[in-house]
Amino acid sequence: MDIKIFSNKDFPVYLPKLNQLYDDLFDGGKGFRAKLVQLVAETLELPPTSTHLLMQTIEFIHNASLLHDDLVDRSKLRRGKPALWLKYSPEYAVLAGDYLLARVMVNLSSYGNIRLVHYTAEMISDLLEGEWLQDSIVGDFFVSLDQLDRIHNLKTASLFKWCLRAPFIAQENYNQNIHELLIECGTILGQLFQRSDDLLDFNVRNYEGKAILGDLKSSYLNSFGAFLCSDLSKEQINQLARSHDLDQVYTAVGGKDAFQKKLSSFDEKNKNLIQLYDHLLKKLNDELGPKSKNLIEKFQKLPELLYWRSKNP
Amino acid sequence: MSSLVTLSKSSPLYKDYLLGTFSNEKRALPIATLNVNKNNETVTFNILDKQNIVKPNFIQFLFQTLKIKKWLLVLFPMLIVLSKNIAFGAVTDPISLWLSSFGILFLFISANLRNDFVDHYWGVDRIFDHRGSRAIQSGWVTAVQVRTLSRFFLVLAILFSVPILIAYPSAFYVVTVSGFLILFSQFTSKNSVYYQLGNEISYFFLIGPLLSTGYQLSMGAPFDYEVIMIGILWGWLVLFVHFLSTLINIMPCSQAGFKNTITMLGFDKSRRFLAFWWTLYVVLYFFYHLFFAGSYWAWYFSLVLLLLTPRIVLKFKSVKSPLGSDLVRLNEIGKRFFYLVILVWLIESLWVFL
Repeated sequence: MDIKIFSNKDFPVYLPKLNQLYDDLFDGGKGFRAKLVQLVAETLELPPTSTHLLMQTIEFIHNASLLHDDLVDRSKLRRGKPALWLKYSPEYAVLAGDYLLARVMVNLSSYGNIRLVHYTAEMISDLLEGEWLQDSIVGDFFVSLDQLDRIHNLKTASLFKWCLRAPFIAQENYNQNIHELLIECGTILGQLFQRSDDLLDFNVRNYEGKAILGDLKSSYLNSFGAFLCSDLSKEQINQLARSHDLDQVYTAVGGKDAFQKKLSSFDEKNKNLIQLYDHLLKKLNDELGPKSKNLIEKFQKLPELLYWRSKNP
Repeated sequence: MSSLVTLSKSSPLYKDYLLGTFSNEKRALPIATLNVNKNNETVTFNILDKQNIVKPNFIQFLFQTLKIKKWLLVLFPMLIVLSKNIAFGAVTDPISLWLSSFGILFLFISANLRNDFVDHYWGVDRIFDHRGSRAIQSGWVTAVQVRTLSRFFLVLAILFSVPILIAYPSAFYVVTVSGFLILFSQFTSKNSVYYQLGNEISYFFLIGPLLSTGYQLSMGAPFDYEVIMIGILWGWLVLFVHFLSTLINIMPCSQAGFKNTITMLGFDKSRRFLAFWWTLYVVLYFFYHLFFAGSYWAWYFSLVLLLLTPRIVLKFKSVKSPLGSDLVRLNEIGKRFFYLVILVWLIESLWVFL
């Protein structure tokens, strides 16, 4: 899929550095969320302009959150390059993020579907709530997976839910049963994606070679970290918190075998989630019209891509 | 062998699965819920063969299902009231004393079981993963069995209390007020007893002044103001622990739309409110002992509590997240304080018999 999310004409030419900043921001992103929107929107046969608007919306919101997130976390790198709050300034990073969110509202309100505007605003509030809560637990190495799930449901899953539901809303399909199932499926996909992303930090299925232990080094215990710590002693958890490389992590949890065993039970836990997702897709299949039934087959492949990180699901 | 079934509230099978009456050989365990507490609630059940459900041993099963740990909430104030009346030689009717002791305990067990049933029925136990006995959620018993058990204990409680009401009409007034409050709690909201503002007040009176006064009257002892103070002091302390556990759940409580003291105050004000609530408890404790017990109890034990107070107040101040381990730790400290007060009060009550 070739997607061009934004054009320089989308933003005022007279604002210094803004277009340059956005070029940097959108460069290198996989646009996964936009592709998910495209997958749903094209199956529902939405007009190309509507599809583009929705894709642009989700990418704007996601990238605005990255801009703010990096500043809040004081992260120095994003996609292997200097974070934009460092390259430009913290002030520009905040304003550019705010500007993207404002742009989303302008573009969506021109589309004329008030429910879509309302739902999008709701999603942005969820996202911000999640960010706020995540910041409040930085440095907490005794946080539980359940507690993190609540944050991820706001921060990550809200976007996935939007990707699945927004094209239906744009099509003015408000079937309650369909939307409930999409919410549930989106929640599971968001959770799977977040957990898989957190596994990358421990170099598990890290096929793209992302930098590892970034969360731990920023004093943030991610979902797999919390799962690892669930039955460790206080001393072991403190040792894990001080780890600078994977060998130190393995030592803290009782050896590489113990780590692998934990990984297997984490995968097992998520397989149950995938089983629930598959079950919900069957229910969704019963609710969808003949034209949209193709969606199910496409949706079935998503856990492979999102959790198992398969290149060709 | 397990399989999944998703049902919405409008489905005719929904109640059968939720209550566990859909099959004699299988159990339906809720694993995912959407729109909890709303008309469009949808629940996904994991259907398991009854024989595949892992049950604990019988003692543990009883301990957990009947929530024996919670019996302390009624047994302790009963013990305080009893020891006071024995010390004053006010117990005139041992038979009625035994009847009322069992009657109150059975009523409490019945209320707890009903609470578990109501929580399950309205989805509260699906919002709070660790609330209640978890006996229904684990598949050890069905919701309908819990409801039957609750009714059984209620009948027992009534049978035990009727002779007392005949013998001591003054206790009738207390039971009437209590009955009114219980009915208010059950019918004013569909949620759990614990998660509404009005019900918190009812809970305070039921577990505090009404319990202590009713118990005293039912053992043939006359009414006095000390028993009211014992009730207030106990209700205040129990509510402190209750508010703490609600604070831990402020996020899901708020998201589910529950309106109670903690969600109305919000995270920051609730922390200050609870620090104030505890400090005021220490003051109340001091004055109660000053007026009704020896002044040395007032000074010594209040001093112990006072010395500990800065620790919990500072902890309330330092907690910065409504999620995370800090709040869990705060709850543990609060519970430790709760047990400490019980220990101190117990020593004081039994001291007169030494």
